[in-house]
Amino acid sequence: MDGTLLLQLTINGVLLGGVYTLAAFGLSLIFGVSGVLNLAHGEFLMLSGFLVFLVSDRLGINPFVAVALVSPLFFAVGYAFERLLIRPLALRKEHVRLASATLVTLGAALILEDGAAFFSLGTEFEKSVGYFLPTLRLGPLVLPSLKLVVFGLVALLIAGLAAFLKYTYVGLAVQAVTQSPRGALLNGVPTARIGAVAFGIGTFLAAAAGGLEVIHSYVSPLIGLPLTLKYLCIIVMGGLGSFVGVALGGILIGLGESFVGFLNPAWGQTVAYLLLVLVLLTRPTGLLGK
Amino acid sequence: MSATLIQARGVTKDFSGLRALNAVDFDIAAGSITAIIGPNGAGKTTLFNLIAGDERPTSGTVVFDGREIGHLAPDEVCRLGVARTYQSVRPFLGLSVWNNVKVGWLYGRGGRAAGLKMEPDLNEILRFTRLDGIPERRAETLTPLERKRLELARALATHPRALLLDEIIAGLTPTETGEMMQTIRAINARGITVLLIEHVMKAVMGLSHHVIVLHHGEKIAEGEPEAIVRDPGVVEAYLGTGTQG
Amino acid sequence: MRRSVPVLALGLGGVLVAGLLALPWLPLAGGGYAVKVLTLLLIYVVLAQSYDIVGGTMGYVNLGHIAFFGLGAYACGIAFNAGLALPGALAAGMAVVMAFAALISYPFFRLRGAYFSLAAFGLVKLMENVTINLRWLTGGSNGLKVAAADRTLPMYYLTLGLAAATILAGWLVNRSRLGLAMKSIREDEAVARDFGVPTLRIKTQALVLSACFPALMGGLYMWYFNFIEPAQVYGLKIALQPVAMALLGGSGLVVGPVLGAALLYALEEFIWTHVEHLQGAILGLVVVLVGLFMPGGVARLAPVQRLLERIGLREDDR
Repeated sequence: MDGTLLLQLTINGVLLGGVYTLAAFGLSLIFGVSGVLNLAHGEFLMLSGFLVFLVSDRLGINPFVAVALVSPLFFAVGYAFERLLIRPLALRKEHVRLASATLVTLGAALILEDGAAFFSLGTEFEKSVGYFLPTLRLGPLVLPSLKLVVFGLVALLIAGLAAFLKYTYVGLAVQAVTQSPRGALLNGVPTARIGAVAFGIGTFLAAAAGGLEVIHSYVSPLIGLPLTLKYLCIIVMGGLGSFVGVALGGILIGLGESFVGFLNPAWGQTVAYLLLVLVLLTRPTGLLGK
Repeated sequence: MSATLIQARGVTKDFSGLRALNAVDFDIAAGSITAIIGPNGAGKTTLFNLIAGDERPTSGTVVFDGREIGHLAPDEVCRLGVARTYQSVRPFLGLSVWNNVKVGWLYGRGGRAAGLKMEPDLNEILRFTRLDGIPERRAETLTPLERKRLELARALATHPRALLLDEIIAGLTPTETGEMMQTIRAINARGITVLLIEHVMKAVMGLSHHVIVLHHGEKIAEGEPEAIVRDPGVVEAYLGTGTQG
Repeated sequence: MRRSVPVLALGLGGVLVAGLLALPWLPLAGGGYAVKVLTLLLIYVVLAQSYDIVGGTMGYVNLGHIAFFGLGAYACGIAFNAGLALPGALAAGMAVVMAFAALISYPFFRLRGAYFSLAAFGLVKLMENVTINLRWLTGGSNGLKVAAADRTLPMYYLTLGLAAATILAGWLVNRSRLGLAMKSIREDEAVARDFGVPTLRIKTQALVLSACFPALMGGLYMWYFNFIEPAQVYGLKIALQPVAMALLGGSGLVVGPVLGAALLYALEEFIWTHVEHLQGAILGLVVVLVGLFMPGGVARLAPVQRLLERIGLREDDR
């Protein structure tokens, strides 16, 4: 494999991984605070993608502006989701809570997926915003400029998230609850409300990812669950509770898919699981997990 | 007469940059009651975890009845004769009282391994810990005091040689404290060596033959209770002796 | 209300017993369709019940349980095509799966909670892909075929027997020392270890035991349907179905998975035949409601518990 190809695959992989990482961060935030693996996470991404498409297609609004308008709505969606469906589970014993949360979020995912398929008149319905930017060329390398812009936005959002976590009260409270729910409670942090806020932020991130996805790629009603599973792989592989781990996991899987997809397309979609199993077998709590 | 049951030499434990225990040495005589005291964060529970096998020492040795146990898994250490209770009180909440104790009996050192008959043995242990009226009750329905007694029963069911009690007196009323102290004395009278982590001075003074004082992971004093209480170094490190018991 | 319960219970108990006794004679009553429906239900019972050995009694939500089914199906099919008669092929399949379970036990049981569940699920996906790529052995995505024949009747009886064996195994384990050790691991694994429970050994035994039944079921499935393909036996839906059934019925109770399998299967059949649109959504709604309001499953609801007590099926999960 020559250097150019290597570099090209690497670039593709990093760009791919970047978008995964945005949604995975949302999931990680939710897990860190509520202890719940939200199986409906990918559905929110999908719904947001559809909404962004509708807004930009029917109302003629610039797609990126549409993302900025639509994503914040999903903060409220996530907040409500937590209050209604997740909060009631908080006091159950651990393995009961795990099973209950699996059922609740999975059921919600089924409802959302089927609902989307029904209202969009079919599961094969792919939606994509046709947005064209001139392709950049750097010597022999092709830089898909749209994907670059998207990656830039993703990086911006992630930086914003990092700053939020570090410099705002809510952000610090979120970190506190993630590290020690009891400790946070004892220090006066309103843990229940923080849980809902974390869900809201996490869902907002998924929505942003969905909006960006429909711009540079596509969404369809069925992408939700497979994507959710991929994000789960990322955050578990990176180590639950570690944000740097998520970024690491996301980029690794992006790179993995890029390279493996090129070498043997049949294995492309299993890269996430392969990496997950390999990592966990060597490091039972993930790359950077506690 | 007092052979050494547990011996620690140079025991050090590090947790990613934090040194919880630093080169701690001690000998625990078989059949004794030893209290381990010290301010919060002194490393007392870490020491218990090292003896019970829940943690491995970063360096140093822990010897139990002449055998090095620092590298052994917790279940192996239990089968050698070490049983414990927990500061946060952890019975098997979803299981009945009877089944809680039965687990200890089946998988511990004595009991099944010693060819004893289970039912009479378990009944005796439940009677001793005053849980004999409620064997079928789920552990999560028990009061905090009952849960502590259940932890004791479960530990006794393993027929241990050494019993590690982590703040078992904490939170008890004066009457309950007296009862628990009596129970501990009775356990010791059966030949079981007892190590207690305690803050309640009444218990420390009233029960122990020997006291070890830890502070910031180091042993700063060791000796008889009366001497320890008067040691100026101990008093300085561990203010609060006068407020309890 | 209280006075009518005994009558209701006796009535229901009687129906239950009559129904169970009638099962072996069902084919003679000429219900060809009923036999097929029941066979499918019994397959679910075997999968859900065997899942619950590790999932309910031991508390490890093994989302990869279906791997044993798929592997058993393929191993049996390959052996069958190689010339072995059914008993030999089934035995070969079971041996392969048991060895597989023992092998993955050590690395996978170092993981806890959600890590374990997700890694186990990942394993299924991997096996699906390996199966697709080992074209020379498994037929790849074109699937695996065995000699066709109508095996409806023997399949029914064999599956009935296997289901009974699975339920019996679940019941025996629950009452055994192994079962108590498994429950202690479920309650508090670290503490169980402190009290002498050799957790890795127990977990391995539990996993291998739970693998036997889906392995045999997979082999029979292969034999009966004459054809399988990777997406079918390693798919997302069939992987999650036994878990959902066990949770719906009451995970950790012997009667739970059976009840859950019957309820979910009946519900699905009803929805497919009576509802035109949004079938998945309605099913999803049911799943959400169960998760929210019946964490212990249907079998642990107070009225159901009272009923079970009256007909002598109430069990102790303490």
